[in-house]
Amino acid sequence: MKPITRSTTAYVNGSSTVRGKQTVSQSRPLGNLLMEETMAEEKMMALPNVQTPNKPVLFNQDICNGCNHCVEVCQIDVYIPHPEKGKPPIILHPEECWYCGCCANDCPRPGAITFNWPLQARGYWKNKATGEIHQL
Amino acid sequence: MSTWHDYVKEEGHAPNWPYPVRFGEEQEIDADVLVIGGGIAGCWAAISAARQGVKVALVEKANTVRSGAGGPGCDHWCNAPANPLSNVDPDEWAVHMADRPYSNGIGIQIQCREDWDTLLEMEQMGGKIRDTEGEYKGADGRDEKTKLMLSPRYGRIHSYVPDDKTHLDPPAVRNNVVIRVWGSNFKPVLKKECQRLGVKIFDRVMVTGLLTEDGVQGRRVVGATGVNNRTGEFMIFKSKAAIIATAGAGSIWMMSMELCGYSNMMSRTISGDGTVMAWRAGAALTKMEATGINRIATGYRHKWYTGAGDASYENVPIVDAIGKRLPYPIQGWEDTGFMVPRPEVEAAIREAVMRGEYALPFYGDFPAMSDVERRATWNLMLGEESTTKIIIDTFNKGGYDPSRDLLQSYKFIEGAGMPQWREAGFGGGVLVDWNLKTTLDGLYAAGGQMFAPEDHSYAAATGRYAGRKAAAYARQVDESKLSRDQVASEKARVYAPLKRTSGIEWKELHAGIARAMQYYVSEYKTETLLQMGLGALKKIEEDSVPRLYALDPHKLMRSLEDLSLLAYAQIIVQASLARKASSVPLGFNRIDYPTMDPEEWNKFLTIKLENDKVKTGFLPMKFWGDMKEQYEAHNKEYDGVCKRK
Repeated sequence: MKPITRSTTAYVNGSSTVRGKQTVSQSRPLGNLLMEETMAEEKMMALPNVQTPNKPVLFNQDICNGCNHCVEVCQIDVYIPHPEKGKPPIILHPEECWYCGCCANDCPRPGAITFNWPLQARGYWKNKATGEIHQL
Repeated sequence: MSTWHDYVKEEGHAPNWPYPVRFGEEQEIDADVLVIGGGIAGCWAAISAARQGVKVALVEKANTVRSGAGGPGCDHWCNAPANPLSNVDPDEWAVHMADRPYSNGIGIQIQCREDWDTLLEMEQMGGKIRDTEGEYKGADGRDEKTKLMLSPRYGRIHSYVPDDKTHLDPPAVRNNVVIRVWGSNFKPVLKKECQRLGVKIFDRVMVTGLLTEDGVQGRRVVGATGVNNRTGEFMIFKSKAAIIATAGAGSIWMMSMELCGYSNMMSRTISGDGTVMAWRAGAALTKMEATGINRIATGYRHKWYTGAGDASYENVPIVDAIGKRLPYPIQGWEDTGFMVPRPEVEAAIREAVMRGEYALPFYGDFPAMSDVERRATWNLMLGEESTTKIIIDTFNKGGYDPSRDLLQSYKFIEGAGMPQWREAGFGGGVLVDWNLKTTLDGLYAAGGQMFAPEDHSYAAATGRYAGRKAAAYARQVDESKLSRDQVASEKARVYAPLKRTSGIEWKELHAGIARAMQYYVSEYKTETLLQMGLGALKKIEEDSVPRLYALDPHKLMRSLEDLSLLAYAQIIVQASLARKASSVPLGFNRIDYPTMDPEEWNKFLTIKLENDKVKTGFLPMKFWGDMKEQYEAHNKEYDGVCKRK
């Protein structure tokens, strides 16, 4: 079986598609068979548990130009600027976020930031006519 | 890629600290008036002082443009009885508002007299306060001539007053004291005005302590120290007058960030720093024993309206799962702003639910509202208010349509809050006089920092007032010298967590403080439990604080906030020990003194440090005297709408 070239593998990160380098580890869209192969050749880092929830927002890399306005308005420094200019900020302190929304409200490039409520904070509503239940 | 973990996986290493590191370096700033905290009260204080022609420095932990509880927005300008549509006399209304036990008659009088003036100034600066485009034509409360949008809030006699039966009868005429505003741009407008007036703004600086004359506790306040939470630089501010405009402490009993995000009423930055720095300098505090059950999300509950737990908090009829209307007041025009159901109504609903007469869950019936009222509620009220702005936005984008969909309410189904999860946000704060001066010379307070604070417009009006008074004081006094010994000892205290690279970090310390408070200073209070609480906190101070470590300037700030929380917690216990009676309005239950609000204990308890020893005292209820008389005696020169009337 042909090895997967990970430099061309895209993985889905919320609403945005991210081109990964050699070390891209998420290969969910490729299915189990390919996943095994990916796993076999993966160099794996030892990482602590991911703080959760850890994505109060999703950045659209095609729209975000890394202006860091969100970094500046954030009340608690959830973000730091990306070391590489022009890239979306890094979410460094996600668990301190109090979901005030200023980063998304004030973003000068509409669509660059999508607010991403943690699953347990997503409200429900019901269509009054049909009774159909929806969750945010 | 957006998270730290993504970055590490991609790059193979952690990102470097993105800001210059300046641990140990010092910057010294000289100001006539130093404003500590750049939220609503702080910005208004800075603007008002700068308009008096003095040199102003404003210090803010975050970025002034969006910082503070009012940073994201404001939808209601509450308690503006001097507005042209008001049907009440501002002075009479103020007396009525201050009838609530343990309220702050001084702040309320200032708000009632001056917050319409304040709102007009906000309009001049660029804040939107009128429906000039006719977007809400036909809405109840909209005045065609002024284009002001009145809110039904406080439409009845204020329903917070216990035992006040008058609120049960709708008044013949509406009070018209609350105005809807488009406040989502208020904060940027305030920052811009500060800059225009030459206020020197220091963003991302946490003030850590006040400096007093000769470094002596109880003497005149002559400055403050701070630390930049991005660079770690040490800041020394010299001032003739200082105004603390920071907030109370948000999370003394709770630490839940890892679970669901830190969805507290206020952000983690709200850690009581201002109260504690005033305390350490020797200023008197009051109402510190007052607490209540945590009203808000804190990650454990649904977050809506800063987690008030109810989807349909205001103006919206609440129905059960099959559409049957529940007898909750809707705080709308139909019940003229009646805010909380009477206990017997609440109990009746509960019993009916248990009998199956109401089906769970409940919903906010937005589709039942008229189009214009629905828009005024959804787009204007919720769309302009603080943290609800982003909620409305994500619901809209997620496909929710208020004209079609019922919004789920979390009443009952999420249960009641745990009684040991309490909050100190029930009014403890710095004692002030009619100049909003604290008990220390050179130190003023405004907004949420004062005892018994109120809302956004209260913060604005009192901030504006404190700025004026502090500027007047600053013009009278000579410069005073900082005590270099005091600066050096504060610098050592601030940097101590940086000297260690292991030990206990800030989250664990916070959680430890919270747990001690849950066990010993919670719903059940006795002398023994409170003494054990004091002991537990002392042990944390002696054993854990010396092990507190911080790896970067951000964690240093959080660590220093822990020290504020710890001191704040200790003050709460000391005040709780000193009040030997239970009280309903203070949310205070002493099992060993079970009688509620006995006459001899209807008084304010004050608490302060004198030579580092805790000293308590008392002030009578309504110690502020005749509100109208006192206000006028202290503000002969002030020319506002009320005076011109």
